[in-house]
Amino acid sequence: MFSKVPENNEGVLNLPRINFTVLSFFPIQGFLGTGATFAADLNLVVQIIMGTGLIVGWFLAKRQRYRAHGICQTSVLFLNLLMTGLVMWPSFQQQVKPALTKALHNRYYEAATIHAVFGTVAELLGLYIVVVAGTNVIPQSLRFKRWKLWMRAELVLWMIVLGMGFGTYYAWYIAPFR
Amino acid sequence: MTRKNVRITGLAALAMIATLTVVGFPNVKANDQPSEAATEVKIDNFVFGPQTITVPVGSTVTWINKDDIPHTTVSTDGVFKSKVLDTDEKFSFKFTKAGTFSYFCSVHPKMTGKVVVQ
Repeated sequence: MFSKVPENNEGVLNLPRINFTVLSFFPIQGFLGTGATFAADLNLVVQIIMGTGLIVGWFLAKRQRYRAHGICQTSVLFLNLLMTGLVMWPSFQQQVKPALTKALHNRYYEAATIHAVFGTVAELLGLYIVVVAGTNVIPQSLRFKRWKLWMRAELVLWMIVLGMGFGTYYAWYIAPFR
Repeated sequence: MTRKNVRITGLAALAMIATLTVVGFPNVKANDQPSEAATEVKIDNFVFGPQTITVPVGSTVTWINKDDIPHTTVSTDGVFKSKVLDTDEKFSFKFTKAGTFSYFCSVHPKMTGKVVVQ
């Protein structure tokens, strides 16, 4: 995407530059009435839908509709990967990564850093479960056998991460404007 | 100097102090109003300060992030755009045309400000 706006510390550069930030595809103003951007609001809504989807998927498994359960949980996992790439990672890279040294001294950075660490673990564990459950790529020695335990642990971890995500949203876009 | 002269001089001094006090205060108050010469906007506690600044054509306005949170300065109509400013980082832009330039922080779009160039 091209941006014709000068962007340097002196404000004098007028050359068009390629802006790879996917965040710039979205409008700026959010739609939930908080201090958030459109992308952050969209992400919040999608995350709530995904959290609900995972619980629906859990019920599907309980009713032994395993194929529907697999499709549901896998869709959530890949949708989250998309939202991470489109919204969360660019936002983290833009705001938190340059200030990681003070990450544990400020609630603004703390919330996002802890959410990012646990979120990465949840996403990787989810991918591992999907690969073990849906393919034969993983060698037998590295495959888990206690399906329920792993999947329930993933669901609980995901819900914790979701809660941390709400915490990050609150710390970034609600608390500063109260 | 006679005692009478001393009294007159004392009264004159008091009158002068009283006059300066009465006339001087409005001047101090006037200085508190947004100054046209002010060219620095501080970003602190999720607020641009002053929120509206008036400058003559040709002025360079500098935004300095005094917050411990990253912020940006982006013109609503695309005239200028800073990179993400960390604590104590600055962004300057020279206004060569008259007009009112609204801007916001693209990370926290509720933060807004205005530069009036006359």
